[in-house]
Amino acid sequence: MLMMSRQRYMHFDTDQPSPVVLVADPDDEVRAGLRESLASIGVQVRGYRRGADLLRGIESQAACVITELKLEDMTGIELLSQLQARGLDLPVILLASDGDVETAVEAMQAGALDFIEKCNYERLLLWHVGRLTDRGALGPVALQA
Amino acid sequence: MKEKPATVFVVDDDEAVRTSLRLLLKSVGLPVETFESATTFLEQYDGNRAGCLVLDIRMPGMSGLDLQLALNERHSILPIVFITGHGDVPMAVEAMQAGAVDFIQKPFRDQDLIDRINRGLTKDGEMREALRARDDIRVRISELTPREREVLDLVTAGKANKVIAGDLNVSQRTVEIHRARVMEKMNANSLAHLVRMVIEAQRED
Repeated sequence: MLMMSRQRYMHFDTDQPSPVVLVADPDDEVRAGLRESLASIGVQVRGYRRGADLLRGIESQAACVITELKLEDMTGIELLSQLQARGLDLPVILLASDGDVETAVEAMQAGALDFIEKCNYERLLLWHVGRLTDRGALGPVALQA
Repeated sequence: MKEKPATVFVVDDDEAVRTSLRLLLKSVGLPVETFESATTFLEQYDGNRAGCLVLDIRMPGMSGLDLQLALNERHSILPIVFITGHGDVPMAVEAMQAGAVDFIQKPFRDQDLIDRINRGLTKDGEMREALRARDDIRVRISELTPREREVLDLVTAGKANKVIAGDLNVSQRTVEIHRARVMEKMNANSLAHLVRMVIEAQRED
């Protein structure tokens, strides 16, 4: 699912400390896939199964939060609201294995950076995270291939 | 000059939709104007007019998303509620990222659309009010004398009267007088208030 040509993204300065992205997803494979995928642009992933676990482990220097829409203990939109309620305005990207237009609009109105259906998420994710962490300068179109 | 009331602008290539929306919005007392294409709207819309744009996303020629981008380029603040027959998630997200206030799929309940339009109108009113307030601050700044303007810049940069007196090579008493006049002309009730006004005046969006 997350196969990609790695060398295309190896343009970052390896002397800098790795930026950190927080991931909430109940699916072990998705977290592992994201870890591998984001490692290719030099970004470290902290994975959590549940929204509450992510909130407990929160660190304000994280570059962004990537969360599945349907977590076991809350929705990704609720997680976004809880982060905002704590005054943490981290960019939040929602990943939906099962999303519809209504939910996408709700998420965007709540302040999500993006709402991505899992069927086509990889290039958008790499673009966002690359941009937020100054790693990987390729634009969304260039990643489309 | 009397301003026209906040108006719902409907852009849809389907005449039946335009007619039914006109009737629906009139029935709840909202002024409405309809346009059969994005190009027509763009040619006729005066950016200073308040309201809310109800926009069909898929139209032949210039699409709803194209119109949204064209309005963004003109720094329009008119809130947009998109209507779509067959929306998909990436399209909805794109429209929202480009600043749409809402995105509704057909078929919808009339009341649902009216609620969303009303939220758009409220937002439009708030934004126009904020812009008016900003213009007002800019006018007040422009009415300061050059020396008062210098004092304003130094005061809001956090400099003490004594330091400003040294910078401008005048007495501290003179600075105090200029400073008091700046506060009065700007209608500022504290230094923090004055700083907020200067920041607001410098905003570009």
